[in-house]
Parts: sequence; structure tokens; C-alpha cells
Amino acid sequence: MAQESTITIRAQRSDDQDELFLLLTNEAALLNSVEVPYMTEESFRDRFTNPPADTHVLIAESVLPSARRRIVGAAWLQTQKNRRRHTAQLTLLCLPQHRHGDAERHLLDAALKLADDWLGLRRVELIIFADDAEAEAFYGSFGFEREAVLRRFAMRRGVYADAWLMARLHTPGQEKQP
Amino acid sequence: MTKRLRQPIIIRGQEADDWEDVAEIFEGERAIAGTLQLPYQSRDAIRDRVENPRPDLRVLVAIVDGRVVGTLGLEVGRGRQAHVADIGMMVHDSYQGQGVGSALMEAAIELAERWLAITRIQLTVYVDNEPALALYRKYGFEVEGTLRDYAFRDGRYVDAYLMARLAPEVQS
Repeated sequence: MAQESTITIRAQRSDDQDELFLLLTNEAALLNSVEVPYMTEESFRDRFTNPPADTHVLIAESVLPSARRRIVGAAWLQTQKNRRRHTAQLTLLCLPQHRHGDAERHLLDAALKLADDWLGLRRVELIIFADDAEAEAFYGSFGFEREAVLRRFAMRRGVYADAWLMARLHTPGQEKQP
Repeated sequence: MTKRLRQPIIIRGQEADDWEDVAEIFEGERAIAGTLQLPYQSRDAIRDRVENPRPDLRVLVAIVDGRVVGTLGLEVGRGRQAHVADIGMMVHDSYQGQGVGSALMEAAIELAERWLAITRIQLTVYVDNEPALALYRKYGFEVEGTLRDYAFRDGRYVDAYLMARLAPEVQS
């Protein structure tokens, strides 16, 4: 699919709430995050309007043939405090048909450029479920490495699922590896 | 070797009145180096934290000779991580290596596993903090991995181990 040119990465806007709610509540999102089913719109509104401090939100939008724009993914980069202020935790979610596709690649690339080139972060970390080999390969291609296995990380559809903590290190101010 | 205190170690929940003793623990050089705390914290900020704890945080203190010499926070997870708890602990510099940490840890494990049905307790520890590592290993925590450049400490980035203790599955 020649979708590459139709993906835009932008900041979150105040009218994104309804589309982001759909992004977070579809079944694929439940399987790849620790969101709980039956999230209410009201509780999401609170999260949307009062995000945790120091969280940068990136939105991936695709342009449909009708010229209508649609949110297909989002990334949350949450920088840490004090003695961990060189690090950030990354969460990335895309609609199922865009998972590990161009939209997700653009999102991750933009989030890492923000971390490396503007925030000067040294360490970006994220968590994936341990049986998600596709996600591991996807993040691996951006320099993330497995660091720790989190046993019984979270309940997922009836079982306690393990997870991988992955991290990518970067020395601020230095040229990136090609 | 661990030299045990002659006085008994009493464990109880942290009270608002404990804040002055707790602030003194936070001033210890070794206590700061071994945790994520910063030097030169305001006593007002520490007082505020002790007097207004977050609702998902259960804090235990260890008392020796009528004085708080150790503190442990058990942060209980929510939603799909309601079975998980995070531990952070600190012992007064002058009372380290004397069984205070063990007393706190035993109480925290009892609270977590026997009363809160927690089946995963996790924590992070700097890879070179041998006394803390020995304590955690003694209580069944296992290293799950090494987090590179986890935090900044005294002028350099330092790695940490992620450790966890799994409880046996709970029977009904």
C-alpha cells in the first residue's frame, strides 16, 4: 500500500478526544497495553484533559481518499524526574491495520527524534508482552534491546502474562548510528 | 556480618507525626546514594509527603528506641496489575546492616501476600549495592534484568537490576 505519503505526525489537539478513545478501547489495544475493558468516556475525558506532567503526545493521522483525516495511532513519551530525568517511558498504540506499518514507523521515528534531538534524553524505555515477537522485532529495528523479563507483568485475557522491558540508549549531542 | 540490635525493632504504619524522623533518614548520604532521592530536599516537602501519602501507597516504618529509623513504601498496582506491588525502602545511615531492612521487608511481604493477595513484588536496586542485593535475595527476589544507565548518582549514570519475588498462586 502506498500509504507512506499520507501519514502525518502532529501534536494532540483538543478535539482528538473521541478518536483517541476509540484507539484505546479496541480489542487490539487491550491485548497490547494494560488498559481495562469498558473504559468510560468520562474517565477517559479526565485522562485526556489532565495528562500526567511531562508527557509529550504525538498523533499519527492518515488522509483518506475522501480527504477526511483519521487518527490511526498515538505515542506518549513521558519524561521522568530528578535522578531519572535523562529517561522517558514510551507507549505507542496504533489501530490494528496500521500496527508495525508506516504509521507506527513514522510515530516511533518522530518520538525518538523528539527524545534525541530536542529533549536530549539518554534512555527511552518501553514494555511489550513477552510473546509479541513482532513488536520485539519492530522496536529492535529502532535500536531497542531487551533488558529484563517481567514475570506475571499483567493480567491479559485470563492469564498473567510476562513482558519484556526494552530500552534504547543514545548519547545526547552525538551523531546517531546509521 | 549483620550485627543485630539489642533493642527490639517495632514495625507499624507511618503516622503524620513521623515526618521529622523520616526527614532525618532522607538526609543520610548512603540512604540518598542507594535510592532515587536528591540531596538538599526541603523538610517541608518531606513533611508534606509524609502527612499526605498517595492513596495507593502503604508506608511502613521501623522503630528502634522510640525513633523511626527505616521506612518502606509498598505501592499497590491497579486494574490489570492489581496483583503487582512496587517496593521502595530507606534505612537511616547509622542503622544500616542491623536487621532494620529485614524487619521492614518481612512485614511488607506479609502485608502484600497474606492480606493484599499480591503475587508479584518488584523493586529496582543499583547493581553495586551489595548489602541491599543480599537482603533482597534473602527474601526470594530474583534479578529479572539489568536496566542500563537507569539513574544518575554522584556524577555518573548507574545501572540497576530489576528484581521481583513471585508468591505461590493463591488457593481458595
